Amino acid sequence: MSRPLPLRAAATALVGPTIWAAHFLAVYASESLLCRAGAAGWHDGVVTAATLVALLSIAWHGGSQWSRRKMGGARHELARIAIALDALSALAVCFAGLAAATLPACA
Amino acid sequence: MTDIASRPPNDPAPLPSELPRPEGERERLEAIWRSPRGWRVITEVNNTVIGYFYIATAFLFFLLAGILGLLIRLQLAVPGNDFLSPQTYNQIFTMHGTVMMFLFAVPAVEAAGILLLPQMLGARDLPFPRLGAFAFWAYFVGGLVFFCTLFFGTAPDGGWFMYPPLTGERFSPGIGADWWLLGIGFIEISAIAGAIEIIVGVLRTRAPGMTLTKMPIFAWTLLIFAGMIVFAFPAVILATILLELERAFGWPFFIAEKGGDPLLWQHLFWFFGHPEVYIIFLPAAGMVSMIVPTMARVPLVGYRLIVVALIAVGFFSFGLWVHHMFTTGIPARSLGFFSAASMAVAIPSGIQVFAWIATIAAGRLKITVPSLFVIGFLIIFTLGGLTGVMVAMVPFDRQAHDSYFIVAHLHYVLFGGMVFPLFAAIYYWAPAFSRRPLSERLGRWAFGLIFLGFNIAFLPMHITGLIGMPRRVYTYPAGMGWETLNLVSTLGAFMLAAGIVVFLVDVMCNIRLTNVKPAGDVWQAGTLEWLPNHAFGLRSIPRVDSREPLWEQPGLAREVEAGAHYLPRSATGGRETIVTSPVEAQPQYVMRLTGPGYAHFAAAVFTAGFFLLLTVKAVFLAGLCGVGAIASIMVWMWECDQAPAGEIDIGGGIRLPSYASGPVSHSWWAMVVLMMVAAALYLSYLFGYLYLWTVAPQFWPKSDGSPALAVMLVPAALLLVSGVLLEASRRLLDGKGNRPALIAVLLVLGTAALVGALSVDILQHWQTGLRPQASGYAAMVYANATLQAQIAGAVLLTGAFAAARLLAGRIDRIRRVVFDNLALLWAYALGQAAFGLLLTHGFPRLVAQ
Repeated sequence: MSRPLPLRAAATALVGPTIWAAHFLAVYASESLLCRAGAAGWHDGVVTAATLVALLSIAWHGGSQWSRRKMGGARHELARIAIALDALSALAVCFAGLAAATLPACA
Repeated sequence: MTDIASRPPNDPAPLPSELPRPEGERERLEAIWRSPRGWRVITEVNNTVIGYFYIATAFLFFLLAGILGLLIRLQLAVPGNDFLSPQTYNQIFTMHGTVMMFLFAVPAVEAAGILLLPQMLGARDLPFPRLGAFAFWAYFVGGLVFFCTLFFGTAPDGGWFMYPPLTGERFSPGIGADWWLLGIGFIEISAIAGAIEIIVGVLRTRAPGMTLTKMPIFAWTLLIFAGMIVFAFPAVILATILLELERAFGWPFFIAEKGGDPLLWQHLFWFFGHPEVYIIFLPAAGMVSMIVPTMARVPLVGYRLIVVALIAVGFFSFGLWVHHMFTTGIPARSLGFFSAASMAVAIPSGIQVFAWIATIAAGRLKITVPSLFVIGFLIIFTLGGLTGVMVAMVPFDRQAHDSYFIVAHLHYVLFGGMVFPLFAAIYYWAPAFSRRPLSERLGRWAFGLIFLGFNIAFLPMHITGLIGMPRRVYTYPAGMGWETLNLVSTLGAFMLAAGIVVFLVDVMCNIRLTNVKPAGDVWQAGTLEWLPNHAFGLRSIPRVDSREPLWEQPGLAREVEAGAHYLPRSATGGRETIVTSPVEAQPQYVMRLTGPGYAHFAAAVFTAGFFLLLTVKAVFLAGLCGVGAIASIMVWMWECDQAPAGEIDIGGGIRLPSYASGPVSHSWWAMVVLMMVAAALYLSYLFGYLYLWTVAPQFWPKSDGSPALAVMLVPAALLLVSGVLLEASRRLLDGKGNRPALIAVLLVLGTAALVGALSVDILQHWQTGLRPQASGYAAMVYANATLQAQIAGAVLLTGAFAAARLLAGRIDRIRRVVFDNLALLWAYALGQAAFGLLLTHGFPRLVAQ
């Protein structure tokens, strides 16, 4: 019998949402900390950097899954699910970034 | 061995088991799975029986909380009403929300999972039958006692989300809040037990060939539901622990003048509370995804997209908690992040709605009672979702906050999103368990009354709220313009209640539960739960090659019932099911399941007794119950982890082991999920610790120049010793020499070293003069000790249990699941203890001024 796929083969589909969660935590927590430190001006830079890193990471992951679409078995279906989740996560990351672009920090 | 995953779907290969089956094989299965009769049915653990009990109890709480809702509506029907006293009214609206959320909604969907999942996945039962039964009995006993507090005037009265400082000792000095904190906190533990059962069940007990992407959507939703419980419930469990510590011992976590913060409660509560909405909604959406294709006679449109949507909702819903706190003074940009996440979650929710509409459009919807409830759900839930997007806008929310607009919105979401699908599900799946289906005629009446009654009751509340009526008010003066709207709402509520009565009449007239000859597949559905089912599940377990196997393989029901597929017998003489791999469902081993017993029942009653007696300050009796609970759990677990019984031929040339340990074992998976729960609890604590530092840094200790390393030295050394003893015992067990006594001694010493490390740490804090009552900071330091003690206590008890099993010859190099689980928990406890040391000693020094 062929070796069964481990759960982590499916868990890779969760990379996009996990990056969204990390980005969300980073931009929210950093505002609390920077406000307390009296360094509100730094938050724009933190959000911009976090958003770029998050989007690039999601794009990289989505790209790696793109080549797996043609694989056989459960892998190709999981790859399609992963790509769609990456797209939704990227959109949600952009939403959070836009909130920072339109509203002042620590106000 | 045949490679199941590589066989093409329409392979005309011979069926796995030869026909005809030997005489007496089926009768033997029936005998093994037969339920105890009479009052001894309380010892039964089979998912069907526990599922019935669970659903009946959840529905009982729905009715009880519904009656409370009617009392609320009677009180508000006219201005200046004195039908209820203000105190009673406060208790009633608190209990209405609490019972609906904690005793009805979550248990009802867990109940549906326990009843339906094994049938749907092709398993004989879920992997931990006694754990499922324990969760039910704990919920049943705890829930009933909790509800009865209303009759003694001691029910909680601080609202279902129990905000301090109102619920602190100063403003709520009675025991009402304690009932909520200990009663509900304990019922949440039962929900987590059910979630572990569901996660391992969905991932490891699917029929051979049922890959993750061939799994019914309902199973997907329950998997995500249970995963969300694992991460969301610990936050509220921590909150209840902290508030109870504050009330009982004066540890000021939520008292602002002592460096605590009442908003910490709101953060922890809503980190649970918002995902809770989706925890309730997702399984209901899963039910809809099962019903719609059957009624439209076409496969679900966008199966993969729905899976994507479910996962996305599972994640995004954790980024919404502050949208319940828009008016608490949080910075505008932070509010923007949560508002943005609230917008983002609308996209996957919309995907599901469009997929259902597309499925209906692609087929030809047969208008049955389940279809009507689904249509009602689509209309009501969509309206609730739209008002949800409105209140996700900060400026609008500032106007609507705490008004009847919110009451309308949350009922549209929860009643529309969960209760309508639940009624659809009851009408849909009743024929699978009852000799007769429910009545179409009575069902249509019930639907009409419920749908109209609901809208007449709750639609006007949007306006009542927008013209200024706040929620939770006991009464209101005439002349505010609220009278007519309130009277209409009350009439609607009674119309809704009339619909529920019609449904009850239908249930009493038509439901005749049976596992011998149910009405069966009256809808011509496509999934496995519609195969002939018995107390032992399916007669034989089929290979699944598609999402709707009954549509693809018309002869499947006959073959399965004849015993032509896998495991058509009991190979070991006991209850058993096939364990498969998590992604592709390749058979891996045959799991032996536990049967009826008293120990899990006693454990549930004693656990409930422990928490409930603590509430009324009967500490000695509570202690006795605690000891009784631990002893019962030990007795229960002693019979588990049976010795290997050789290889088992399940048919089709596949021979499977009857025992597995390590990452292949289902038990190992459950322990990993439990560790995730523990980690989520500790992360919630970490959030609380850092949060209090950001809001009240003046209560943090000033620098005294002492190095952190010196005070950490002794506890850290003891942790190291504990770790070394764990590793030594593992190596001894792996080795060829048989030395159980020595390993047992190492286990006891090693777990004692862990407890010793934590004791030394607490003593050191105490000796510096730090007292938990002094400040929020000090309370957090001792809260860390409390959490560490909790897990170290579990390791100590499990270590003693494993040592006893070693001495009794029940653990060896092969039969080692108990040891492996102990090692996992122990290693986790060591990591958490080391982190706790660094946090409580290192962080204050790092930030000291």
